[in-house]
Amino acid sequence: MFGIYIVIYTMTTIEATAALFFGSLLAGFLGSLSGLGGGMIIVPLLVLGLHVDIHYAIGASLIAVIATSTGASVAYVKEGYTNIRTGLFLETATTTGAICGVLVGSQLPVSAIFMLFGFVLLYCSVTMFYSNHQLQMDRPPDRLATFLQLNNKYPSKGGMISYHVQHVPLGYLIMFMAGALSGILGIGSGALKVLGMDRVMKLPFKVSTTTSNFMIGVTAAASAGLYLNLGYVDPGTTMPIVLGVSSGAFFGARLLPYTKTTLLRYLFACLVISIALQMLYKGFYGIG
Amino acid sequence: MELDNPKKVERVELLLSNILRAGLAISMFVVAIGGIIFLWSHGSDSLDPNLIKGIPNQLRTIPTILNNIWHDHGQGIMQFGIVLLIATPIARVASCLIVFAKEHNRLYVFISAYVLLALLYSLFWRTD
Repeated sequence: MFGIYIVIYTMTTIEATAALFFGSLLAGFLGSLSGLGGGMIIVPLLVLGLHVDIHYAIGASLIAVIATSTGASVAYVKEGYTNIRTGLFLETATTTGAICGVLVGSQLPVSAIFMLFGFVLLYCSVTMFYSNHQLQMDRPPDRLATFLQLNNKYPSKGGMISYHVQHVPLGYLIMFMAGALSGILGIGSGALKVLGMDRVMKLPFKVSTTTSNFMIGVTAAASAGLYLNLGYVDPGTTMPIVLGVSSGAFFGARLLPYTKTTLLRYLFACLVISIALQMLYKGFYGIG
Repeated sequence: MELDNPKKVERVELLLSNILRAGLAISMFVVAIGGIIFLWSHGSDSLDPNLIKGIPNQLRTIPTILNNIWHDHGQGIMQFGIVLLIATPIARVASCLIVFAKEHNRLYVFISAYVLLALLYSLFWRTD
């Protein structure tokens, strides 16, 4: 990023490990502050800044995403917002998508992965400015959702509020694509999952975010297992990345309540757009 | 799983979050220990760029990873920790399955079983 290129090949192992650790610390920190999540920032940072081969970056990123999302969901599940059944049901889509994504993605030329990444990042930078909150109207129960036991209640100051899930087939398709993106790019796809649940399936926003978080770990694990077997998870590389991202995300989450949202959003949008353009550039002109 | 009984809901969710937390803590600890051992013995090696291009087969599949802990300690232990990390969501899905089975919720036993199978397929898949 911004021309910071570290020449890895002249380093010793411990120096490279430290570089990976601190780079990942930054990525985890930025990821949790921006709400973008790990993979979106980790993979480009590793690939553009530290010249890690993209497949190994994706492998390491998936492992890191499992760690951060598991850590975050520990708190959310206890609060009672997570819709466990909807999460599990949609996980059939995301895991299938993830496996397909990895199998397809491993055959794709690297430049295609870079370009796909760039486009997804550009899309994210735009959607960062969408408003979060849907006007909560209780809709009549959808037959398919009721059959699948997806409807539920969530806690609020006035007691438990019930909601009814809608548009199951479209939501399912979106989750499949979120899983596929996770498998190809090594990201958690949290943003796409929240989009699907919040806007399409009409779950209350807080339920969507917590349930999405709940699902990210499983989706990433489905991709990660395959990546492991493909030989793209190098323990020496992955170790500092996982530890760095987790630490960074931890500090980012701590800092988050003290930050001003609007300014942050603009800053991160600029950062994401810059990263997206670099990824597109590399994809188009080949890896230097 | 979200019965009308709030107490039961709390217990299940507490169980899940404890499983997640334990899995995360244990696996990160193992990875860190492996990392320390790895850096202790290989820290001052210069990086061989060709090394990055291929991960030895011993570190790719579960049975050989377990075996490798005794031989190439640092790398083996780190990889084992990584496997534990991947296994944490698997454990979570498995415990959901058990809870659904206890509740006689057939639909969700099947749904959980599908997710579980997908995860296990991914973890134990081989290229050869």
